[in-house]
Amino acid sequence: MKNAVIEAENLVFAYTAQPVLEINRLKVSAGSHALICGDSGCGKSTLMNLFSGVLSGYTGRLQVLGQDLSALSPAKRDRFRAQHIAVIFQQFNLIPYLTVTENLRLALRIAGQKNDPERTAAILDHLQIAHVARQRASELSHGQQQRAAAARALALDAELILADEPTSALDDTNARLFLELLFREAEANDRTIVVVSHDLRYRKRFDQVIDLAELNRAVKKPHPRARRSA
Amino acid sequence: MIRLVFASLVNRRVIVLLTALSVAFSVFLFASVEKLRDGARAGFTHTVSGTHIVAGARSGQIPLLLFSLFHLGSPTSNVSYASYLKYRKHPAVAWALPLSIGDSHRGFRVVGTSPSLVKHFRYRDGQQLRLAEGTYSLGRFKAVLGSTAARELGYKVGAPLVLTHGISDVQGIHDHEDNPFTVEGIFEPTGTPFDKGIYISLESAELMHADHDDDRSEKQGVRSADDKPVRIEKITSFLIGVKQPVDILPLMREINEDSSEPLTAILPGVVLSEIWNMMGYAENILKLVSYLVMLTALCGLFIALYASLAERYREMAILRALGAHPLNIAALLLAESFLLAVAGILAGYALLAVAAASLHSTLVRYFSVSLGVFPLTPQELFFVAMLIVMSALVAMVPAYLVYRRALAEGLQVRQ
Repeated sequence: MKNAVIEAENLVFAYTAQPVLEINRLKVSAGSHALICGDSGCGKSTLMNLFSGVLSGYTGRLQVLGQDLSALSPAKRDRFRAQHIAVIFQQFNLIPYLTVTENLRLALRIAGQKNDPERTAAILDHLQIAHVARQRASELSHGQQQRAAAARALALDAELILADEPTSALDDTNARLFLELLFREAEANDRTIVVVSHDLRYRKRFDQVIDLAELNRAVKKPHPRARRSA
Repeated sequence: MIRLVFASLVNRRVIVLLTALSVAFSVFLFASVEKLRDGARAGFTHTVSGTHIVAGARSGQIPLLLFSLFHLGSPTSNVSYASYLKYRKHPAVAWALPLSIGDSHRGFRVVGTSPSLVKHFRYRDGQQLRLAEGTYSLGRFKAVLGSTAARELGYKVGAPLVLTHGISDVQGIHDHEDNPFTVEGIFEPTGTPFDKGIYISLESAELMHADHDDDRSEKQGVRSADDKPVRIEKITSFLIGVKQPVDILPLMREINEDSSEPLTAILPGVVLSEIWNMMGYAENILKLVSYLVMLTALCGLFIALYASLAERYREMAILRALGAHPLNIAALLLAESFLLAVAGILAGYALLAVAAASLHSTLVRYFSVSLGVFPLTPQELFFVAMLIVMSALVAMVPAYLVYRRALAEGLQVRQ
């Protein structure tokens, strides 16, 4: 059995008094490609933000890459994320006035990693956004921005890639191209992938599928945001 | 990282430009009020330099100084030329300059003096008078004009000049029409009341009055008197420079206690500052204005920077999400804020330099104030330092908030 990259036990998180996330046990082992699915509002993004350390203040145990995130100060958490985790945010989080290339370079720089122009060019090329590499992020289409965000995450040398709805704005071809590259990169460098999505088109390609709606006990209680008809 | 600062600034160029501009205007306003205040004081106290004692007939200290050097008011009584000669030969005295004031030409004072005026008279830290054009001899019926007088009257070298007895704007009934003077030269501007004077020799002044002086037994045509020595009896005051500074006070006492004629001697520097202190309320108002401007400017900078930084909250959150250390982000904000403040300050002073250059002659003409960017007054240095410190403080607020607020919140897209 491989080591767990993400391990949660009795994880409870609440924005207000009402918990939105209650997970008994969740484990993602090293090198696995996990898909966390579930309907809107079942806490997917919240869980993702907890994994990446963007969100804090949970109770229970959560270890990412063997690190107890709640034990770190916010600044150290940011540092930890930069060094070990590549995140594709749902909101992309590109700096709008920088070009795609500059966005990539900035992320590498902050993470303290070297920029390999050939590698980044290859990633951009594969994701079919090489032609907009010199354009500002704000000038790109929604889909292009999403691919730029994906390219940024893939360019980083991280042990864990977290992707929040990475294909939401992509057509079928581009979604396939992205997943292809994601899996290839992960396998070549022995990375762990956790994708959060309600898009089940590609579920067969993942070796671990977690239905959060079932796992999250908070949604089973009567809750205004729980269980909308899919 | 520096590239990021610039990219970010360029991205928000309009608001950045406006912020820098508001800083620039504040700096400009504060600095010009400061400079004018300082310039007014300097213009005032620089009126005379190197003159140790001003002496005249017994009168108040302030009137004596005002009519002798500022062309304000008029002497109540005269001092005998003999007294002047006595003190000029005094062993402690290095030089003495007679002044005879009482005539005017279209509102400008005519000052009778000796040709050694140019040699001894000093203004602003010992600067000498310089001739802008023409000659300087103060020969008979020759006049040299101060720069303001020349410009206002529109006289060039060689122009005829008709002098009036008494001081009035209109040509009086006492016009000395038979004795037209000629403008022989024009002084360079000094930025002091000196510029408003018309300078002639004592002899010319005496000759001008000779015709109208009924007391004189021998009425002579002035023209025919050209070669004869003119007897000078009265002047209004005289300036003294001593050889040794230690002699100033004893000499002053000696003049004040002169038994042959009641005289008053004053130290111009002391009386100047007395007058300035009397007008202190005006300076205090200016001071108050400049402090208010400073306060407004600091508030303006705070608001502008805070507003522009608050809108970049998400941007900062992204940097944090990428793993930038809060100190890095703080440095980023600081650098930006600092750049803005410095750019604003430089632009403000550039504005001041342009304004000073284009308004220079007007200011000198109407206010005897000369304006320049340098040197900075202590208040200005304080103000500039405050602006920079404030810009740093302002940057720290959002930097702290970025650190304190939950990162997830900052990453939300707000519409």
